[in-house]
Amino acid sequence: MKGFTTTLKTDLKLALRNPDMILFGIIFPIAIMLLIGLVSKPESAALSFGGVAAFGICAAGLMGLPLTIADYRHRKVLKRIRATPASPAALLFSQAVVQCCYVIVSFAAVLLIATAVFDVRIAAPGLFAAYYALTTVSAFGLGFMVASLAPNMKVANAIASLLYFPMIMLSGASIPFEIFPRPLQAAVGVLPMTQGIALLKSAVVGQADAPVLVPILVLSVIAIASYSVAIRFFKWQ
Amino acid sequence: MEEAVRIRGLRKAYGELAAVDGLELSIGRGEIFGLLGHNGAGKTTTIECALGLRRRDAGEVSLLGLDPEKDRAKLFEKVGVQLQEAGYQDRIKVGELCACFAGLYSKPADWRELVARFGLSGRERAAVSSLSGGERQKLSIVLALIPGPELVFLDELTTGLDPKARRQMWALIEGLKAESVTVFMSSHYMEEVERLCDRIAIMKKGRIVAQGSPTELVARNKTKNLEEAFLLYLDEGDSLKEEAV
Repeated sequence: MKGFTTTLKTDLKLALRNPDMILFGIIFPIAIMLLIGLVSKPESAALSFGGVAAFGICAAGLMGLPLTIADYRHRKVLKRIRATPASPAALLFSQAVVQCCYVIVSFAAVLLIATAVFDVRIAAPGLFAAYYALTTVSAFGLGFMVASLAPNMKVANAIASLLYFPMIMLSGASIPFEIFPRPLQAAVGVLPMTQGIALLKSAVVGQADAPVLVPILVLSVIAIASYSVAIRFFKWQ
Repeated sequence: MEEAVRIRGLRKAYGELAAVDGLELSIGRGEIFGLLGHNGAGKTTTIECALGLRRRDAGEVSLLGLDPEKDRAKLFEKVGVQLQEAGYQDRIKVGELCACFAGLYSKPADWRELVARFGLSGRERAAVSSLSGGERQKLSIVLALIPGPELVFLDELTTGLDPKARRQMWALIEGLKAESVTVFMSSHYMEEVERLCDRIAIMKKGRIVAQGSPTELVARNKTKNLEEAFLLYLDEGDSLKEEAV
């Protein structure tokens, strides 16, 4: 893709200057992991780790990705690159890669704290990695979809917040899902992050008979649907 | 004379409103061409359709012999563009923006040399958002020249600039002429096009109502200057309509 290395280099530099992403994507998950680890028993720290590990995915996929792309459209960056020989898609891909970097850095930091400080062990690391990747792909799909459908920055901000905060609060990322009343559990089951975090937790504790089929299916359907909608409705200006 | 720009029967409507309505124009290589008209006359739509940034409803566009919609990647190696709206990322610095653009072309000009030539030396580490209006317009010309273009589009380059900055821009455009770069500029300052342009076209409600060299247009209408000729053309249709009512 022509122009990709150049736009990636630029986007990486700009990402380091984005205070929102550094706060929500990296500092916030680290702080929550420390907090939960300090106040809870070792077993529940391990369970919470599965949820906190997904914080970076939420911040990058549901906030960083859609808001940056909507901002590029608003500032006519997407339009301007179409008046160069580069592929305009290079901007979208480089932004996805940058947001992936956020996810990886955030995850690495949370993992380091969980394992080194609170002695958390991931029982099935291979499965954990696969579930983590699927959850990321699915959340990024939602992010691209928001970027495609939002007509302006205000709407993009509103939708991103509507997705981000419930997923952080209700999907089991910060508050253990298990303590919610049954009806609420059923209601938030539709949030993709709830399914992703259920998968991550099952891999952390190594629960062999965990019901993984439905979560995997839900995440895959969300991913396919959201990327299709995103591609169908994307506007460069 | 070899043509750098050829537009035939260009049409573009937004809903019911015809923004460009059967526009014809042709610009020879090395010419400085000015498109004049009030706000809303269709200048920007013409430029954006010519560049393929907006899909035209009908007509043919050829820039340096290439179709901007079909041969985009090849064409923009040789065409530089300054658009009215910003088009740069939040928090980006002058040097980063220039380096980023240079990276998009196969044979970019030396952007540091351009930055120096346009009086922006020492500003490389400044955030683009912190630049003054004049500095930002200079930067947008630097970006337009990074491809080492044969053809440059300047959409209302001097709108909103103070007289001093405007005069600096004029000197820069005259520099392009000396390098025999073809320039397609839009403007609503008569003084500016009178001084810079070899040929102008006056646009009104999506159509070209007159074209020729500034001196020709003045002579044809026996007016004192271009401004009067311009107003004459723009008033003509309106007074006819008023008579009809």
